[in-house]
Amino acid sequence: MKLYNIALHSLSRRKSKTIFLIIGLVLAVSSVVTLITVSENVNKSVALDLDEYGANIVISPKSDELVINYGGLNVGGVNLSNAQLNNEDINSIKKIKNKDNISIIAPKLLNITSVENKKVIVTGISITDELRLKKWWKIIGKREIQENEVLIGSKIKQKLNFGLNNNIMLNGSRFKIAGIIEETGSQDDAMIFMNLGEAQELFKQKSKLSLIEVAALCYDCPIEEIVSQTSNQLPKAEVTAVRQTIESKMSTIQRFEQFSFGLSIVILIISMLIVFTNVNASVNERTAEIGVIKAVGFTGINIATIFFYEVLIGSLIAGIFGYAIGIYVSKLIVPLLGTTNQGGISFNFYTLLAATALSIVVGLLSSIYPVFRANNLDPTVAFRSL
Amino acid sequence: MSFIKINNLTKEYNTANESVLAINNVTASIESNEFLSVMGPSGSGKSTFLTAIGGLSHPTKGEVIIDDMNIFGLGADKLAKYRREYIGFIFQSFHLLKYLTVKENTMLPLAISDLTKGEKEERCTQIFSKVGLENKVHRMVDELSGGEQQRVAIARALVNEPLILLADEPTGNLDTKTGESIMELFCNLNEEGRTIIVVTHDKKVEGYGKRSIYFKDGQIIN
Repeated sequence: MKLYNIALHSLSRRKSKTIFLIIGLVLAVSSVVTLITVSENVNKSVALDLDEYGANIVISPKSDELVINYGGLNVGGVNLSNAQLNNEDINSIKKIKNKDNISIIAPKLLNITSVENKKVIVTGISITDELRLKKWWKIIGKREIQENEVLIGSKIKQKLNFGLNNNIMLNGSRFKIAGIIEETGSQDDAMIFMNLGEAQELFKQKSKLSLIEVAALCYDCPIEEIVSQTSNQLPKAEVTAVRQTIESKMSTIQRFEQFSFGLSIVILIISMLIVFTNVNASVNERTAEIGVIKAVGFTGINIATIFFYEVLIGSLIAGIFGYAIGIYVSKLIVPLLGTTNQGGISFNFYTLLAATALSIVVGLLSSIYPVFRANNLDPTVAFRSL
Repeated sequence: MSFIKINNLTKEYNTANESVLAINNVTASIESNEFLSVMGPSGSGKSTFLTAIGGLSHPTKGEVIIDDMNIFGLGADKLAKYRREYIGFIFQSFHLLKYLTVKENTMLPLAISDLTKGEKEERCTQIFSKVGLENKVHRMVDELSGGEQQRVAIARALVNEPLILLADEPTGNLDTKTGESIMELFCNLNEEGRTIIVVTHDKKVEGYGKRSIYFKDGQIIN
């Protein structure tokens, strides 16, 4: 017969009180697990969506000269024909250690030419990648241009008075205007877009690139790490993280996390009150028992140990069940939130350990005062109570 | 020097409305191996006297010396150790733990003992034989009769082999015949060398003791 035997017998005999204690903790643990799992999943999903909404890394040739701006970023020398990046660099980017974090690579070749005596920028793009990157583009007409077809920005349309399906001469070659990009408020409004290969051939810059825009998934890998790895692969390039994009994304995610954290704290406090009430009531009901235990020579530590064993056993059970329920409920809730790019929700041993540890800490902390009361109970008062 | 010495013992209980003097300046001596009956009407201070000897009730004034040890000069843990080694309590209402069996109730004090499992089992076997519970060790205590429950309480009180048994109205909830068998058991335990102090208001129970003291209004009147 040991102290834990006394605790086990007490729990098994007082089934309804034990179940009430466990339910209080299960509610807390399952709620916290659900909140954190759902929030993590939503955050990940939102982060992935935001990561693919525009570039967060721009790669440009290194240059000592101060020059043209692409969306606020320097893109190389005044003479755009001195493009120093090339198609091989795309493959190099795909070889970095965190290659799985690279979602979209959108290379570009910029050239200036004249159309009807007006200077225009012609940008060679990989149309599929560019459309994935620039989800905000609203295109009138055809989206995925083919050979001898171009997309024009809204200002080009106004400036040169061109319309859909008109022909345009670029460097002596005829191209059909297959699509018109509605006003975006960016430099894209003033550009003509064609397929990269055609641009490289047209402007006799075979395999050359002016810059590469990259959408990196930086939910679980810091952007600085990806920038550093890319820089190592491309020593002749300048690799820059787009801070504004990253910081506004992080701000959105942090708000989600703060909300989840705040709600979790509230739930844990409520659970602690439930456990406190349960253990306190138990002490009140068992005053005679506590008196007997003191009479037979148990010390304060012995008495505290019995009560803490009871809470520990209940907390252990609650932690395991709470985790299982939390994961199950998360699996039900996440599909209802309509997020894309959802990560899988599955059993994780370390999260189970953490949930159980949380349950034990909540249970034990809530029991401190009632156990202190039990220790200080006057045994003669206990005996008089019968 | 007496085995148990009570010097100028006073115990005052403070309630919300008043202060009650349960024992007022009581002095007494009890020898080793004595069988003492403590008599008196309800509220006269008998139980308070008993719990003071048992180290359960701290006096407002005075001292209790057991085996040359001032028990209320000990710290909490040493006082608990004193109760384990010297005292066995038996209560009128038995105070058994309903969620434990006969054997588990008896072994309760041994939960914090250094004895091996085998030693605990052997000790319990001897005690069950002594109190006549050999065939009921695995029963839940609320399945037993009043007399049997009191025997379990006695077994629990004996399991640490205490020198002093303190019994507060041990036959109060029992019929006459059962009460007599319990008192016979106390006589046997006294013959084995234990000091027995029984609080009672029953004259028949008093007769089993070798000496009696009488309480009235918190004082010993003889």
